[in-house]
Amino acid sequence: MKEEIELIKQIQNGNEHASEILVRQYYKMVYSFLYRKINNKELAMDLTQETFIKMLKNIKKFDQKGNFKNWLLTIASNLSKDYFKSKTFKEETQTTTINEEITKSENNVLYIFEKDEKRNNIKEALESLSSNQKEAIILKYYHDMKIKDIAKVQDTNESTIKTRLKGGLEKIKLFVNRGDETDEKKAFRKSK
Amino acid sequence: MKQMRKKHSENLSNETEIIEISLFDEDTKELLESYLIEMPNEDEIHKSIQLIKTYTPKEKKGTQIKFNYYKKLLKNCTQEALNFSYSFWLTNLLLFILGFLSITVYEANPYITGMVLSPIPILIGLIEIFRNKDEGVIELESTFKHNMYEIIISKILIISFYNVTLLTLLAIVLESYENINLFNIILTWYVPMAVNLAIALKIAKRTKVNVTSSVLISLWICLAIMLEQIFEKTMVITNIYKISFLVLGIIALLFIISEIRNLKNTLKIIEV
Repeated sequence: MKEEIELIKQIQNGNEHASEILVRQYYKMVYSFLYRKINNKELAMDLTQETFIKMLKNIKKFDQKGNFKNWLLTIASNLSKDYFKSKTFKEETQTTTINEEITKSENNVLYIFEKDEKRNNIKEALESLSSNQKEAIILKYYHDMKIKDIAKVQDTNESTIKTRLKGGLEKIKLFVNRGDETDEKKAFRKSK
Repeated sequence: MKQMRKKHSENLSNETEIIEISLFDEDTKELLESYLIEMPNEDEIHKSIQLIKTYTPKEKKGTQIKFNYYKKLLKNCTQEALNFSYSFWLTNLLLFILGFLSITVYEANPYITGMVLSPIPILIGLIEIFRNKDEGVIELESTFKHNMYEIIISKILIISFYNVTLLTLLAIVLESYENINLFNIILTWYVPMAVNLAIALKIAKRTKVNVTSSVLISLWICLAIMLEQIFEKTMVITNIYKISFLVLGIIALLFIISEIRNLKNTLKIIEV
């Protein structure tokens, strides 16, 4: 923590080497947060880069008593929200939906068996959530953040975060159960 | 009402703790764990970081850093001046009055009087400068906003400024009363002050400042009595005196600068 504050001070005084150390320290954390939110490697990399650039541009405003990790994740969260609101995202979503439907209808059976089921299950489960629910779960589970800190990142109160977490997890559980039912049906069909 | 609110917030935090712990059951955890991330390779990360770091805020220009430093030092000086004891200000003022009366009423030699009295306020000021060193509160002060070095420098500046101002005022007042040369006054009054400060700084770092101050004041008074007896009332500032004082003043100034620099390192060791 002390070292982190020292690095921030050095950056505020224009030390590029300190920037490199701090960015390297948090790069994978920010990238994984954005990757889980966006589910796209190239885009997650671009937004990670933008997050750190924005961090450096605003480093003088950072209150050293605050939590740097939370501040960084708040920047990343806001940037991802901006991306979801952007024209680029809307256009890309339309194209992806059409392409996916074509692929699905062509290779429907093959697709089901070839994919890494578990990995896609969680991706699909998270995709079924609202953006805020998804983010709350990512921050809670993968980044081990406290509810009050998630509330700060999402700029809301603790009760809302609890509702988002509960609601999100219920949806995921439903998804898991549905998956289990499908497995049982598959097994039943096979035994027939 | 307050109690109800307190109870409500306690319930809320208890509830939060329960949620924090029991949020994820084993099935959900297993599912969430299976989310693998496609990480960029080291080369990609490196390239990205190289670009990111170019956005580091530009280094402040040297003059700006210096300006900020002096601004901070001036602020420190004002704060430290308020912490000085009344006895310090009062003693210095009394010495000023004593000098003035000796020359104007008792017709003492202005050069010798100034030479004898001018270093005393600095030596008394030493107690204020190093007070916290002896009281062992350096560690405490060093945890505050300013470090010990800055505090001591501020105190030295205040004391020097205060005494130089008093001496200059006295010199200007005396110039209208007596037939004296301002340049000679500066030499004979300020140089002993600088020499004493240099010696005091050297000794005070290693010994108790009260002892240093008392010993130096006593020694100085003895020396002054000797000077008084040698020159009596007829001290005339010849060119040899002028050159000797000038050289001595320059050496003392260089010594003070070097001592202040050394002080930075000494205090760093104490703070650690």
